[in-house]
Amino acid sequence: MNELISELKLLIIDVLNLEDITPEEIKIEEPLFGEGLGLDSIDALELGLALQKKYKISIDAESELTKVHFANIKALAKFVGDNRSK
Amino acid sequence: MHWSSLFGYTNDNSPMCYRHNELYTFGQFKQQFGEACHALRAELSMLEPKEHSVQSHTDCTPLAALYSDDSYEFCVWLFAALACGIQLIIPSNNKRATAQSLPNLKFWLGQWKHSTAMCLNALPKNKCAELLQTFTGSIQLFTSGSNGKPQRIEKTLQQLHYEIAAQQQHWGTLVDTTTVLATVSHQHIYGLLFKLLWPLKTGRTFVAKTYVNIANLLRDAEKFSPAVWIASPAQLSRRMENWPWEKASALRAIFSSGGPLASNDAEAITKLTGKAPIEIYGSTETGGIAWRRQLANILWQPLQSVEVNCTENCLLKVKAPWISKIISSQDRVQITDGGFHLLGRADQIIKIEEKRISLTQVENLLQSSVYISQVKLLPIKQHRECIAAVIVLNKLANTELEAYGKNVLVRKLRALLEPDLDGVAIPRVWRFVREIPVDNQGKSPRALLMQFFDRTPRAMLPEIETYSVENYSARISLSIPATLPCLPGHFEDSPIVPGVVQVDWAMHFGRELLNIGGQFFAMEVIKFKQLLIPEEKVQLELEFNQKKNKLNFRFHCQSNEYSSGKLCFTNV
Repeated sequence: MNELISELKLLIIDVLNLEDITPEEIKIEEPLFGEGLGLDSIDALELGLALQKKYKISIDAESELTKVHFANIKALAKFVGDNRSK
Repeated sequence: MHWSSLFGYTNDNSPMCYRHNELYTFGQFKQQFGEACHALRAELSMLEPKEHSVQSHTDCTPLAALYSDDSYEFCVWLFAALACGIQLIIPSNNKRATAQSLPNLKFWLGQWKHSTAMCLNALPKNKCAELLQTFTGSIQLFTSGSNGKPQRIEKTLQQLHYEIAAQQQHWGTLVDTTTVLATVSHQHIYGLLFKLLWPLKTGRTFVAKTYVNIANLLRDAEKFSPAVWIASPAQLSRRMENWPWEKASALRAIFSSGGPLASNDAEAITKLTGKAPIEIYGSTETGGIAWRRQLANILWQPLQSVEVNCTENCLLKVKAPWISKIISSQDRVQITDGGFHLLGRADQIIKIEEKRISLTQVENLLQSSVYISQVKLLPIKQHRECIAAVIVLNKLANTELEAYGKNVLVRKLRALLEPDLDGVAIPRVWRFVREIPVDNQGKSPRALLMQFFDRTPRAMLPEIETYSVENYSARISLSIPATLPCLPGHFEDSPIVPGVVQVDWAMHFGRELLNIGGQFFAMEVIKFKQLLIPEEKVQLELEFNQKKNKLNFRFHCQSNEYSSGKLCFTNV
């Protein structure tokens, strides 16, 4: 799990081109969107695409559950861990 | 306007809208519309007598703000309010700053944090609510004004319907009997017309939600076939091959508006769906005024009954039946025989992912924080278009910066903007500098600010004497100080500007002046013809071929050509 968490942090920084932020500075329970990390709706689209490509998972951006999965790094890691093709 | 000229459904059983996996008929809508009118009238009757007289002066007309992400709910309130003679404000979001900027409102309709907000779910059932048939109220839409304050644009239903008539004349046969699926919101004029009012007028069905997931949209297009997709470049530019594109055969057309679609996106979408996207150009002020299918013709064609013209400064002037006077916009254009080219904005308004953003508004918000003594914003293209901030911090902020680091301070500044701005309007890239550079007119042009975002360190660059940019080409007069650290070492005692440095400069100025994103991956036909010696004055000509994503460069002076070639970039 910890490995996946670090991987996801790097993926977010890389895919979304976040400057001035190191993986250590992303707290695993802080919100990804709005306050916290401050991602926007376009980031959501791009992050969704990147996760689908990298982990071969399918994400339904309209499902209410997706909001829960994308709430923070911890939730996202659990979701990716449970769903990726092994 | 009268009921009969707004709705084209043949009877109460006509399907109108798909919502939460249920089909709503026109009859069901009428029922809820009646209930909403009833509720609004009850509220109106409790207002001061002079206030609820619908016929009185505009300043007494009750005002309501309407926001909902559910197009069906939006539709019920829209018509109910207009039937009750209410003046409706349709803002682009329901954020705090938006709510605060709307004083003297009688009603909050739809999804608002206000305790008095009226929403569809809480509407009392009323079997025999009277069905009002005339619509007298008007609509105000919001857009970002040049002065930093959101600007209200007033539209009557009649005006909106004049535009619908023009669109119908153009695309009526194409979209006939289609179900409308949208990835844009009806809170903006494009969605309001294309997703709602136009289908209503022509008796077509629409899906109430705004799609985020394109795979779902494609599946639904097949389910509700034939369909149209009301899109914008933000979604058309973000695709995955493994989405069920084969279902796009159920789409009769794809419309795109909000900003120009990049040529590679137009090509990719055409290839994936078999439909060349129809781009609509317009603004909140002007409504839709032109269209193109760029693969067939890159020029924008004015819609029928629209006259376009341009001012001396190349600003677009528009006359159309749906606007009350000739509008001079801040869009720069070049008009030719067969249509026109768009050249960009002339003011501080920019568009990021189709959202019109006033840099002045964001600057003012930042300026009012306790941390900032001076701020300048500019749009830059890194991996995508975003806003960059160049900031002079005050003493307090510098102390915090030293103590906690940049990340903490940036988060604080972002948190300050978050309640008031759409996500894409919040700066993404932050530079804390000692002073904001100004030219001798006291202005801070883009070229001066871009030095903080350079990939080439400032010390490695020649000095710009003059430069001019037109469309996708630039001419720059450079002087090359002999002191640049990249010059010596090539030949002993006779410094030259090495070829690799010239290429780097071409790339640097290309990114800076022509806004080239993408990653550099190759060079073509590079020629070094003569040695370029420091202290010389030299011209650099750049031309970016958008279609091929190649930057042509040429270093020369009057009689000599030093070098030339092409730099290739990946698509962003």
